[in-house]
Amino acid sequence: MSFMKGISPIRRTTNYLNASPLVLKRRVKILTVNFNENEEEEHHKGARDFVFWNLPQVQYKNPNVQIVTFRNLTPSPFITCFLEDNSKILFDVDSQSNKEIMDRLVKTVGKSKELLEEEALASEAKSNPANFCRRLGFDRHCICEMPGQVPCPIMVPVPKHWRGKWWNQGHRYEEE
Amino acid sequence: MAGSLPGVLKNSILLGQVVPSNLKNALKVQVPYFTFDERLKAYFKKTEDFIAVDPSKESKTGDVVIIQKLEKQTKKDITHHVSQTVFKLGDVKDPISGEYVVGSEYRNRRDKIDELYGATGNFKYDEAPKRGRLEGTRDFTDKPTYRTWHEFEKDDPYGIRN
Repeated sequence: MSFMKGISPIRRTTNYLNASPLVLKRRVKILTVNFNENEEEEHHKGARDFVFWNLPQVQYKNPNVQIVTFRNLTPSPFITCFLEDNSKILFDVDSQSNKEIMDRLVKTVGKSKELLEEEALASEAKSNPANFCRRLGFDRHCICEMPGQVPCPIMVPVPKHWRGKWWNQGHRYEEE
Repeated sequence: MAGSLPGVLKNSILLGQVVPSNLKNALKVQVPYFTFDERLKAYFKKTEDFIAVDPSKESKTGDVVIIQKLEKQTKKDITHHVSQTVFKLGDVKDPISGEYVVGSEYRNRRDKIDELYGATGNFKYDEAPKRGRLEGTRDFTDKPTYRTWHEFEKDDPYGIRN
């Protein structure tokens, strides 16, 4: 890790940044953390750790959420989530560890694990280059345009005995 | 300029701090956001200024406000309007307790300690008039200040000549 300079450079690895379970629900637009930097204020330690260790992870997973920190403004630490309908959710994080804060946020304003898995599957289907359908954004419109495959029936009619219509109308039982 | 704006700034609501400006009926709000450096894998803070209308005329410089995008822009530059004030400069209210706060101390607790010590000439928050009384005469935070080098007969109070 020669390029990993600075304090706790593990925070700057993609693996670490992707490891956060917190993907905020779509209505959360702004996340604000209020905490104090004074080491002697032990009840702020969890909030301080949250900002140091977990905030880059949260921003990485939620690139379109505005994250703001306020230092030394109030005696108690808290986190505010502002929603798009101008309401806010207040989390009092006094004397809570950063893990507790994270779990609490995931439970209240985070997308559930099942929803995240569904979304991951949906996004995989979108980006798979093996799919067809130019209307949906893929490169190829049909397998008929690939060399070596059955040509498009518009150009070359398909042999009758390959057609389901011929097969089901009983022509297979006819004598030639 | 709109094409190069990062996704965060296209949100319908943004949080920012009111910054001194020369505008008459609008406020300039500075919005901080983080951009990701792909190589260093770290976030760096950047700010963007927005011009917002304040219908209640209550916001002063230094207040932290939430601005909401206007549905219809009447003027080309005014893009947002102030929807709520989060913190007022000098009169920060702790949202959990609802008490007024000075740094990491509660105002009423501070006043009690001062009383016990017998303090006499301290600033009384409840008796003091609202912010804005001395704007232009003693308070020069509403408009941006600049450095001036020439000695005029009538000095502009917003030009600093030190």
